[in-house]
Order: sequence, then C-alpha cells, then structure tokens
Amino acid sequence: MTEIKDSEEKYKKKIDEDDDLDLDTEDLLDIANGGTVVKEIPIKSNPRITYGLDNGGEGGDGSGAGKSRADILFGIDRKYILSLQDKWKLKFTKPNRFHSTQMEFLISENGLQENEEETIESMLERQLVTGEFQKKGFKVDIKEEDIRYDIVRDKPVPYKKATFVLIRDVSPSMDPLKKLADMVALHIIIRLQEEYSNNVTRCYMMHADSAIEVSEKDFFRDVFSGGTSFLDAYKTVNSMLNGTQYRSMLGYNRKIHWADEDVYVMHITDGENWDMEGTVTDEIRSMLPKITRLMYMQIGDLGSFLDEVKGLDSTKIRYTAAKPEPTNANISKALTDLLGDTE
Amino acid sequence: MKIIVREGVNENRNWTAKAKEIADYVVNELHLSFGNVEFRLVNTDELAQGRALYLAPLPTWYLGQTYIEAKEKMGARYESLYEMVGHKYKNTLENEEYTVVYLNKADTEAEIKSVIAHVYGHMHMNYNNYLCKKENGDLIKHAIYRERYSELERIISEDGKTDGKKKLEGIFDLAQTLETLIDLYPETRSEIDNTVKNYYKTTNNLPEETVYDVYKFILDNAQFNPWEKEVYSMMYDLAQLYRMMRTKIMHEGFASFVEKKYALYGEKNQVVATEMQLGVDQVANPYEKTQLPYALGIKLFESIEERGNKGRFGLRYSILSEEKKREFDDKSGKGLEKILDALRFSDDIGFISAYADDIFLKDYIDILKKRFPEDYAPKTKEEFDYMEWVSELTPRILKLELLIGREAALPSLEIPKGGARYVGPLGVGLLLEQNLSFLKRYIDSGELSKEETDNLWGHFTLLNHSTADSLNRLVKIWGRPVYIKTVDNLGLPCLIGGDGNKIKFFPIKTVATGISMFG
Repeated sequence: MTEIKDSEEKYKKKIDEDDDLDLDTEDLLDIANGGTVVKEIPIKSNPRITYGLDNGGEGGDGSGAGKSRADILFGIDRKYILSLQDKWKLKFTKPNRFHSTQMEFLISENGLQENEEETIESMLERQLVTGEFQKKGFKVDIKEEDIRYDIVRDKPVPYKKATFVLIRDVSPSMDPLKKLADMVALHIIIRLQEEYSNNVTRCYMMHADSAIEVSEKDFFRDVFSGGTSFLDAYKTVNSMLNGTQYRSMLGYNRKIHWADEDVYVMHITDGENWDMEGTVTDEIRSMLPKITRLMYMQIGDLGSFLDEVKGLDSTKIRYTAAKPEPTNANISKALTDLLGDTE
Repeated sequence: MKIIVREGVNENRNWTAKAKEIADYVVNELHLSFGNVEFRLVNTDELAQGRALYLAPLPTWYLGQTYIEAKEKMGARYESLYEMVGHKYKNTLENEEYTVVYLNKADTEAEIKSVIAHVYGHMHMNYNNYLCKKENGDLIKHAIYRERYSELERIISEDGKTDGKKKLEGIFDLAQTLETLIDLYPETRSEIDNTVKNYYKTTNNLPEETVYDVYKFILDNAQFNPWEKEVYSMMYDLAQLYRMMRTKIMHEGFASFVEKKYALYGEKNQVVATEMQLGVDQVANPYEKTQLPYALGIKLFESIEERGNKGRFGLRYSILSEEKKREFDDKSGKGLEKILDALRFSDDIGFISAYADDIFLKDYIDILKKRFPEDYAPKTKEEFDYMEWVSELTPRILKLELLIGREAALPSLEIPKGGARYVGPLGVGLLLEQNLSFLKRYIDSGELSKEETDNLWGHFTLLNHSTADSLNRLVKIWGRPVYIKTVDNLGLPCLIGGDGNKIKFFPIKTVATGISMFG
C-alpha cells in the first residue's frame, strides 16, 4: 500500500532529522558489507497535557497521555543509508571518451535483420526432416518459416568516468576524531559503491607528516605518530595527475587521465597543519585546473587551514566545518555541504 | 445474521463453518446479538497495516512508526494483536452491511477461534451498548481523509518552493497535542438554546458558557488558514475515538468473558479448548497493569453471572452479613440476563460502581496478593512497589482507585465563561481550567479521607514537562498566551502560563481569578 510506504519514508526522515540513529563505525562497516544492523529507536510522540510530577508521580491511564517510552527495533541497511544521501551527487563534466557495450534488442522499427546463416541452417533442417533433401538433394529454397532474424546486437554506450581521491589525516591530533572520520569515509564509500560503482574509481590516501596511497581496507587503520603535513598529500595528488612517482602501498602508481575524466578530491582533517603558510595553497592552485572539485572537511575548532582554503576563493572548492560529535546529523550536514546538489 | 470467512477474494469454507459454529453458540447459549460479520484471513504484514491505518489514519510519520512497531511486535509474537475489528462496509450484491474483522493467518486454530469468539463479544457491545453504538471508527471516512491529506500535500507544494509534506506535518504534530482535549462525556451536557441567548446577548464573554470541548473551541475560534483548519478538523474528527476509553473495561472484559465461555463449554475439541483457556488466562493477567481491562473485566462479568444465577441482588440480599451473602443462592438463574442488562446501559464508571461490591473486591485483592508467596523478598523496585501497594489495599481503596482511575483517564480541561479573553500575568490569552470536580464528590461524601486526598495531588497535578511542551504548542496554535489552572503537589491551585517565549508558574493567590478549583 503506497500510503504505508510513504509514511515509512516520512518516519525514516524524522529519525534522521531528530538524530535518533546512533550508528557507529562497526555498524557502517557491516552495512557497507551488505549487512543489516538493528537499532533501537525511541518511540516518538507529541507532547500532551498529562498528570503527575516529572520525577515519579503516577501518570494517568495512558492512552497517549503520560505514556512510558519503549523502543522500536529498526533495521538499517544500505538502502536506508542511501536514502539519507539522495542529495549527494557527482557531476560529470568531461567529454565522453569511454564506451561500454550493451545489448540492444532489435525490433522491426529499429533494424531487425535476417541472419542468413541461421536461415540456411533452419532451411536445411526442414528439408532433412520432411525428406525433401533425400529426394532433391541440397537446394537453396527458403520458405518463410525458415527465416531467422538477428534479435540482439551490441550497442556501444558512452559513459562518463571520474576518479574520487579520498584523503584522511591520520596524525595523532586526529585520534579523538577518528570515529567521525571513519563514519564520513564509510558514508562516501557506500554512496560510491552503490551509485557510481561502474564509472567512478575510488582512490585512498592517508597522511600524517608524509602521504601514502593505501587500499580501502588499510584506510581505516589507526593513526600514525609524527607531525602533520598537508603538503605531501596534495603533492601526491598532483603526482597522480601528472603521472609521476609517489609513495603507494598498492604496488603501482596510478595516472589519473584528468583530461578525459572528472577528478574529485576530498580531504578530511582537523585542520592542524605544520607546513609553512602558503606552500600548501600553492600546491592546490596548481592542482585546481585539472580537477573538478576539491572538498575540504575540517572537524573541530583547532585548525586554521580552513581560512587558507577560504582564501583560495575558487568555484571548484567546497569546504565545511564539522562539529566533532560523531552523530548522523553532523555527518549528513557536512557531506551535504560538500556533495549536495546545488542546482 | 450472516457470517463468512474470506481468504483473498475467495471464501474459506472450512473457517466459515467454524465461525458459524461459534456464532451459534454465542447467540443461542449466551443470547448475544449483532450484525453480519466478514472475517478476512490476512498475513502478519497485512494485519500490521490494518492496525496501523486504524490507529493512525493519516499518511504521516506516525503511521509509519505505528506500522513498523506493529509489524515488529506481531512478527516476534510479542504483545501480539490477534485481531482487529475493522470497518462496516456495504455488500452491494447482497445489499447488506457487514463488519469486517481481520484475522492473522499465522495464528493457530485455537488462537483464531479465540479471536472469533472474542470479536463476537466486542460486536455485541458495539450493537447494544448505548455509548458504543456511536463510537466506531469509520474506515471509509479514514480513507477519504488520507486521500485528502495527500492531496493537500501536493497542492501546497505546487508553487515549487513550499515543502507541503513538512508544512502539513507541522500541523499534524500540533493537532496531536490537542487530541486529548475533547469532551469525553458530551451526553452529560445540557443543550443550550442559542437562538434565544444570541438575541438577548448582553455580554461579550467568549465563551458565553463553560466549554468542555477545548479542541472544538480552538477549532472554531483560532485563526487558521483554510488548509490548516481542514487538517485540524480531520484530526478532531479522528480524536472522537478517544471516547472508546469510557467502555474499555466492559469491552475487553466482556469479549474475554465470551471467549472463555466458548473455550469451556462450546469448543468440542479438548486440545483446542485447553489452548484457548490458557490463552485467555495469559491475556487476562491481573498482575500486568496494561491487562487490567481484561483481568478485572472478565472477573467482574463472572461475578455478575454468579450473583445473577444465585439471586444475589436487591434489598433482601444487601442487608445480609458477608458470610450469609457468600452462602445465598435462590437458584434464580438470571446470570446472563444481568450481564446483558449491565452491558446495555453502563459505561466503565457505572459498571464498577454498580457491580464491584465488597465481596468481589475482597476476592480480587486475594488474587492480587497471590502474585508472590508470603515470604517472598522483592528483587526489583517494581516488585517492591507492588507488594507495598497490595499490602495496603482494602476493598474501599481498590474501588476508589478503579473509579478515580476511570474518571481521570484523561486530564479534563475546560474553558470557563470568558476564558478566551482571560487577563493573565503574561497578557490577554486563553485560560484552560483543570476540572477536578469528580474528586470533590469523593471528598464531600467522606469516601476520601484528608490524608488520602493530600496524597492524591501529586497524581493529578499537571505541572510537568509534557504539559509545559504542550502549552508551548497551544500558544503556537492560539496565537496568544495560554494559561492552565491546575493544582500543585500540595493541592494548592496554581496557574502556568506561556506566551511563546517562556513558561511561568504563578501560585493562585497572586492571581485574582475568582474561580473555584472545583468548577
């Protein structure tokens, strides 16, 4: 029944708006791996005039007034997470240079054609079965019932491609913010896996005082010791764009064909950077002509790099300052700021 | 009377035969009477949908929550609702009206039969009790409201900028706060001849007389735009179902009574009968507060039946000692007659007042005491509170608790004469007064001692966060300050008022209202 379905959607939205969903990293990892996580959501009710004092006086009969709270067990799966993300979109601006193959079913209007080989084969079969071959020998005598058609053909379909580079700061100052960073990253990964798995390449990088490309699994390991330098991270991105060497745990260095595909770079950090002022922004400036968007997410109030990012004043840059609490509402707001559809 | 059981569009002949067998018993042996019934065997999800749509007819987040909660509980067989008495519909082929009842296909034979017998009890109440006849939910109307609500969402969103769903949800949330502010007993109010009054109107009081239906008054007098008023009106109409609270104990008690009777004397299959009896005992659990209507109700009907069969009514009986009363038996055999009479004319308060005599209450207290053995040491606060409560129970106290509990099922608020233009400390606004006149009856008659009365104020005060939140919403709806006159936990009258920015508390002696606490 559609009203029930719509109402369920409204209820889910309300849970999200009221931030009732208390998901942690393990929950999101399970969900990203295709599992369903069951959470207790408090039953919502609008206030009513009720009897009793707040600290233990007995309420009335119930019936909507003074009702005790109970929880609903609510299953969260990928579909639910994706429904929270429906405003996050990637744009594909580079020209179509890639093609995939699809099968197209042919009908008479769009080019149904006779398949000569199969037609001859079916004619021969008929002649053998009816005894015509024994009588007259092989003779090409195609009747209407013999005709076979090509019903399927390959169709090249152009598609647009992108590479999404996800960079996270794993310096010691990020330790108290690890949970939020993990959850943000998982939200991105779920979205990219579900909506853009065919045409977006995911690329992961970690940095403390130096940067390294890692696998998706290693992206969630513990923080490194040492200082914090953003410069090496952005230099690594430039290396990927230019096809030069950089540090990678994957066993190879990638080259991003920025002329043919869109490039998204997201940096998750607390904003505390030890590089000299101006050095990192210079590196970013050299990167900007080749990429589609740089998304800078600063968590908490300690860092100052956000001001430098704002100073770049480019339409290709989106930034957000997220509160450090790892709540759904914070994550949702931050990612909507960075990935929300502005059109 | 026609009985049919359908599964999908087809008749389930096996179950139709069984349902008819049960109907034969309740009609011939228990003298019940009701109209045509169509049972529909549905799966758990469909039953959850049906329940949710009945409790939350409008397509809002509340419907979504109700559905998910019902599905989860039914799926886990936890607090399972086995049936849902639904709506009346007209079978146009036969030109007859049927009441549709949903049954869960996943239930066992004993459970389904229990439900059918239980439903017949409910239906007898609906057809014969003077209050219940007017109170049934009309699911055809619910469907119309649902459609209209969705249409309003679309219309409001037509400008492309307004989020119609959000707008309507805001009104729905406010209206839910108003829901319990209806008049539960409109039949007790005297009709006022407004034509004469309006002609000779000499004052500008608003309202002219005390108004007991606060929601209706706000609906008629607050400033709404047309679509807001439409939504509030729908919600007001739907809120009338709260009046079913007036006969909750009778409804569930009688339905359970019928179910038990069939299980004991009607069902031929002993295994099924035993399972049915166990089911009734489980539902009518006297130790679960939520099951009080079932537990108390069924016991009271059994008591009425026994008393009626043994002639234990009337003056001749009432002057006997307790010992003689327990022995009295004139074999008059009028048990069922007494029950059917009680059902026709009572609400829960009248029912308890008339039929819960001292002997019944003593026996019920003995049942309550049997929850734990005598030397049991309580392990939780709930157990401790229960044992303390039961140890102090007497028939008088139990009866008072039951009666006051029913009378005060919802806070009763009214708008006094001129209350819409009340000059309060936060400005001119709407005054709502809590009506505690029912308590006055008990105090004046001496049934409640001063100490007992003093202990009650904490239960009846409206000074809590939920009321404060509600007050903020009332201010939003009314557009001006709103005040609620209540009592504090010492029983002293006081006022709380809100103006949209703050909620303030005023002891009554600082506010000259000239209005007595008891109306």
